[in-house]
Amino acid sequence: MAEKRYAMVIDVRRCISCFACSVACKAEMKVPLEVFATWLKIVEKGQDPNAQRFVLPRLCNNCGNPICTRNCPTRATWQREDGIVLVDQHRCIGCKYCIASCPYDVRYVNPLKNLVQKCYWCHHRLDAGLVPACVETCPTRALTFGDVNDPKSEVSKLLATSATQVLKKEMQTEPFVYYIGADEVAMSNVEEEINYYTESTLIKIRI
Amino acid sequence: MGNISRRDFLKLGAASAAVLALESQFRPIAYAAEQLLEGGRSVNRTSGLPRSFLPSTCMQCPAGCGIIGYVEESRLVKIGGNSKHISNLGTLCARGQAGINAIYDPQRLLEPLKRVGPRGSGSWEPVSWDDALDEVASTLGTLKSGGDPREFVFLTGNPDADYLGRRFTHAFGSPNFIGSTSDFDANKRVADRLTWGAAGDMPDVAHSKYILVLGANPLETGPNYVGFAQRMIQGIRDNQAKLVVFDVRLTNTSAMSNEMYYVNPGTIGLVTLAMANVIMQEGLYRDEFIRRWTNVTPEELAGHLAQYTPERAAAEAGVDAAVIRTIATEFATTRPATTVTDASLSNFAAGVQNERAAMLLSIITGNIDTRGGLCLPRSYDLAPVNPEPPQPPPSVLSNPPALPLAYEQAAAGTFEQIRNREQKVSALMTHNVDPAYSNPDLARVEEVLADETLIPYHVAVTPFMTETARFADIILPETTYLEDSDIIVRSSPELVPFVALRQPVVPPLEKSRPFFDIASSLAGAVKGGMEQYFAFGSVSDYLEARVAGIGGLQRVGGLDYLRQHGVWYDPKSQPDYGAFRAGGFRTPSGKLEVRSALMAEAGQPALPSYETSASLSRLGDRDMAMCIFDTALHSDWKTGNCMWLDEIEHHNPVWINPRTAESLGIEDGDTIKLTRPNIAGDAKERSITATAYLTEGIHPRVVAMANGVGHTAMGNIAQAEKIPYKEPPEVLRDPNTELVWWGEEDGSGVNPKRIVPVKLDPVGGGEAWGEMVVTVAKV
Repeated sequence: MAEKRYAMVIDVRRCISCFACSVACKAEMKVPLEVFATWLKIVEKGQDPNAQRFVLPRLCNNCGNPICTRNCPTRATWQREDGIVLVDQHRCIGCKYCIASCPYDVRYVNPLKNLVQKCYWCHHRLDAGLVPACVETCPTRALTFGDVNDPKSEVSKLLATSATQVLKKEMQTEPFVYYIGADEVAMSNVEEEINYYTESTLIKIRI
Repeated sequence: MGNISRRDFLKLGAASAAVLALESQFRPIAYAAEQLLEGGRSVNRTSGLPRSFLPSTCMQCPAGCGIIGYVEESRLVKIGGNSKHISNLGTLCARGQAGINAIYDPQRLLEPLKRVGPRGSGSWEPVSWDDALDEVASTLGTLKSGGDPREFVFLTGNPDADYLGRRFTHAFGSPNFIGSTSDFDANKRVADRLTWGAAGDMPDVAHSKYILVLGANPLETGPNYVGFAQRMIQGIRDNQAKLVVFDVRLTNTSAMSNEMYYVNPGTIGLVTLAMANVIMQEGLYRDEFIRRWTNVTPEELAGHLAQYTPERAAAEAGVDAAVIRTIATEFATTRPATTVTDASLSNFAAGVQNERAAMLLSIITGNIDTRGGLCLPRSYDLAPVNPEPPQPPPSVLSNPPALPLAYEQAAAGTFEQIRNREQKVSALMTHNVDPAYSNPDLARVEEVLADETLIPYHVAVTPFMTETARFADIILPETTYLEDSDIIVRSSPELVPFVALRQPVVPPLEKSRPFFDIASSLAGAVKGGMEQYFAFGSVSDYLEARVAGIGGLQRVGGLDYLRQHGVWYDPKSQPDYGAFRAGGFRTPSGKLEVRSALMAEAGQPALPSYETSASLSRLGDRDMAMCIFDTALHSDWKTGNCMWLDEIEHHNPVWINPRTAESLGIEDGDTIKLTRPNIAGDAKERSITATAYLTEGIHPRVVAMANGVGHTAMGNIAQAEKIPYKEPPEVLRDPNTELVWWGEEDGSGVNPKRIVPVKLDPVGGGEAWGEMVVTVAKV
């Protein structure tokens, strides 16, 4: 069998916008306030009485062709063979080149440590035979995670049977987070996520 | 593992069979085989070593999901879902995971406090537990031996403390126990009891083909939140059920629907009756079912419903008559079908009527307690612990004469009655409840709590300095639910009853004590006969006695089994759909009481009916109906101090339709004033100011605000204020408390209940918030 290559498939048609993934990430990765490694983008469109609301769970794509690893001057950011892009906290100098080069705005400076961090697909859990914390807690099984090189894995089956989308395909970064049933408006302008409304509140997710 | 045969399945032990049973019914967890054995579902991030763990039960909302607490060096580091739990199936929502923020709330109360300044002034001095218990026991003891023990009132907001709280109150000699299940769904529970003899329902949405949501938002909030939402997704996505929603705003549920209709506020009951009328007129009803299992004939019912024409409903509700006809026809001809109802249907003065109307749709189409239909609730009854204290004769508080059919008094009514001096109160004990945040017209609640002539003595049993605890004379620091013990039963969304345990995942922090200990100590010190009802020995003895009647659990080890697994249900059990066919319904007639003699006795129409709301039907130009809604991130007052939740949802701008806003000269982000007009003899004018949020997702005559933010107490975090790292005691320190950013950016929200008038359904006794009308103006 080929080497492992992890991927996540997000079936947006199952997502109820509960934010369980966002909070699971906070707890698992000790992500401080002010920043998020995974979050929900929520957009409304259309006019009353036909207004619609769409959600898009967001996190690092752990790209097949990542820009961030190439731009890191200290090679703190590197990629495992299974595809996970990591940041070596001992080599990171906090220069933020990687943040500027990421087309998906998924990296952040940890305000308590002044180091760059991101979603690592909970590699410590994967190494222990577990799935990422967000995947485990997702109440409606909107998130599926696994090895695309294993044809029997749930992600392989989903990729084989469903039409999928990726963010900013034209950037040729080869994202390994695949979406099913995502709204095209929600998929576009991912960098313009500074302010948006959820159900009841204005959230500032990215500072 | 997916190919396991039924024979193999039965050979397996109970615990593993339980997990498999769930997987067979829910979408399989593909990676189950890869997962470490139980206990390894969480590992240390640096060492990779499995964390120690204990199963327990959540209390961040009433759903009671099974949780696992992961512990490192006696500190709780993570909360996850319990994969053995039949309700939440190993998953957990944002609130449940944020329980970490509650147990380590930097301003959590860790020692008893005694008031030193005037009541409500916020001046306290710490006292020892001995002194605190002596003082409370002495005051209560004097009332019990030398006064009238009926002047003791106990209020709890913890559904699992109902039994112990009621026992304490009755043992003391007072009937005045006000439980937790009273406010939000009281009207629905009364309607259910009148109609089919059981409080509550459980739509079997996982197996439905047609789900008609009437004023509910189950994908965002609800009594079984995660357990129900995941089955609903199973229904609409895996089972391709059609989802149709009637509401006044765009909810997370209506956002995922096939069809969504905005109705004029307060008219869903009428639309429902019009659909029932269509089904009867078109001959789409189940004749035999109605004749055999209800106490009306199809002819009687058709005659009664004829007044509710689709055209009448269209005119009043603002939904096309053709739409009403189509949906009625689809509901009756797509099988199985079910309704899902909640507060936006039942929180009206006609809430009981509305709920009874909704049940009618499932009744006349024969979708009652069928696979995929509207099912009766299923849960275990726990054994009483003998000897039980005698139940004192009812009082005006416990059984208000004005609410003959209300099974549970609403706390909102309680404070009004105390204010009106209908019941003299000498001592009030509030336990894990925050009426000064949760109740309508909360300025009135504050006035009652502050008035020492109305409430001479107030003991608050709470882990946090809530809006209500501020008005206490003495505070007993209870543990959080994560250090507490209880036996948990809930209506099962899987329709197989279960029993679960709440146990301390870490020992009580510092000097905090579980409610069981506090109640037992007080009963022992107050004496006068009440001590005999709290002579349990240990909390384990008490818990064991509670589950003594569940034979299946006893056979696998009783309480020890629950301590290890957190939950038990009969792994061979399948939903017993249609069990009523053997023994009838638990109503006086044994049938579905579509015609209710009790309603008639209470001066209400005996058949499900609709009456136009007086307040909502006469909206002036600047008047708007007001909708207060719950979200997936907060549970009323309970989660206000959870920073992970507050960071995502910390304020609640007022939803307003852009066309309406334009006519009122309001722009997005404007500060606006919502004023509740003076209601003669009922409520004086009150107002709040808030920020306008223009959205297409709301009916033009409705404004909406979220519940769960806008705290005025409960610590800095709940009020969006930073806390210096070194200010809290060491065990509660967290560098994140210096990073609270949203207070400066957005504020911490406004509590809309400040302007909700106290109004109850005269039958159900539940609150009628839905009747609320406000005037809206730019400040």
